[in-house]
Amino acid sequence: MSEADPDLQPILTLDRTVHEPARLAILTVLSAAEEVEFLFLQRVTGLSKGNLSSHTQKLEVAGYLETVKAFRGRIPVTSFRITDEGRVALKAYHKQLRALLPEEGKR
Amino acid sequence: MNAVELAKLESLTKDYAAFQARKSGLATALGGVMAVLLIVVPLLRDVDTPMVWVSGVRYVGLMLFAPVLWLIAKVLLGRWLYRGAGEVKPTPNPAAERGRWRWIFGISLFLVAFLTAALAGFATGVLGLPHDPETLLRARLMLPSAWIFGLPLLYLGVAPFAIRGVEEGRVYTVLVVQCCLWMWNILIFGFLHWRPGPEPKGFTVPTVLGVLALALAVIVWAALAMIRGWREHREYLAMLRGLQPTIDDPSDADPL
Repeated sequence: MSEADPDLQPILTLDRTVHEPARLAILTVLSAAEEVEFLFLQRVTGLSKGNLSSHTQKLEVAGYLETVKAFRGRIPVTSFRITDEGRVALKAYHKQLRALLPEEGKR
Repeated sequence: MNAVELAKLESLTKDYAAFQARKSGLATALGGVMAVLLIVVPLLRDVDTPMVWVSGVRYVGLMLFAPVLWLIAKVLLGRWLYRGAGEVKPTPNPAAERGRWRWIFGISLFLVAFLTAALAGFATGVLGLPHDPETLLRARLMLPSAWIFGLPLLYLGVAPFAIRGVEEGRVYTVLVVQCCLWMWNILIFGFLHWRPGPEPKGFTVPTVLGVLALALAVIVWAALAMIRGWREHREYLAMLRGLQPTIDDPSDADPL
C-alpha cells in the first residue's frame, strides 16, 4: 500500500464513526441534551428504527454514547446519553473539519 | 449535512428539552380558566355560605381541591400533549444547580407562608371570631365535617411536586397559577367570615375592598396565565413543525 498524500492525511484521520451523517446528527442531538429518547432521535433524524438502532449500537461500541433502558408504566422506553468520550470525539471532529476548510469556508 | 443544519438540530433539541422542563402550555391556560371559574361560579348562584353546592359537590371542596386537580391535570396534559415526539432532558446548567437549594428553600418558605395564611384564614373564617360564648358554641357545633380540615393538608402533599427540582419552582407560570388558586382560597376563608345562621353577613368597607382587590388580582393573573399558556402551546406546535427529518434515509440498507 502506497504512502498517502500528505495533503490527504488530515482527511484520512477523520473519525469515521463520527463522520457518517446519521451518526453525526445523533451525536449532535445528544450533545445538546442530557438524555434523549429514541423516539425523538427517530423523529428528528428521520431514520428508520432499524437504522437508528444500528447507528446507536455502533456509537455505543465506540464508547460515544450509553443506552438507558427504563419503563414508563409498563412501556419500555429507550433513551441515550452522550459520554465524555463522545463529546471529546465530536469536538475533535469539528476542529479537524474546520482545519480542513479553506479560509472562506470557516466564516 | 452542513454546519448550519447541525446548528439548527442542536438548537431545536435544546429548545425542545427546555420546553419540556420549564413550560406547561395549555395546562397553564387551564389554571387561569380554573381560577376564573372559581370566582364566577359562586357569583352566578345565590351564595350564602362557602358551603354552597355546585353540581352536587361542595364548593368549598372544589376550591380546596382546585390546586391539586390542576397539578394532576398539568402532569396528564404534559404527558398527553407535550411528549408526543419523545422525552428530552435538558443538560443541567451549573449556574442553576448552584442556586437550586436557595430556590427550593425560598419556594418552600413561600408555600409555608401561603399555607399558614390559608389555614389561619380558614380557622378564623370557620369560627367567625365570635364574641359571645353562645355564638362560639353554635359556631363549633356547625363546624364542617373533619375531612374539610384535612383537605388543605393536601397542599403539603403536592408541594414536593410543585417544587420538583428547581425547574418546577422557577416556572413563572406555575407559580402564577398556583398563586391564583391559593389567593382565592385565602380570599374565601380569610375575608368571608363563616358565621352560623341564615342571616346575611354585614361586610365592612375594608373587607369589600380587600375582596375586590384580590378578585381583580386573581382575574389579571388568570388572564396572563391563559395568554401565556396559549403562546407556549403555539410555540410547541411550531417546534413540532421544525422536527423535520434531517437525513435522507430512503432504504434500510446497513449503515457504514
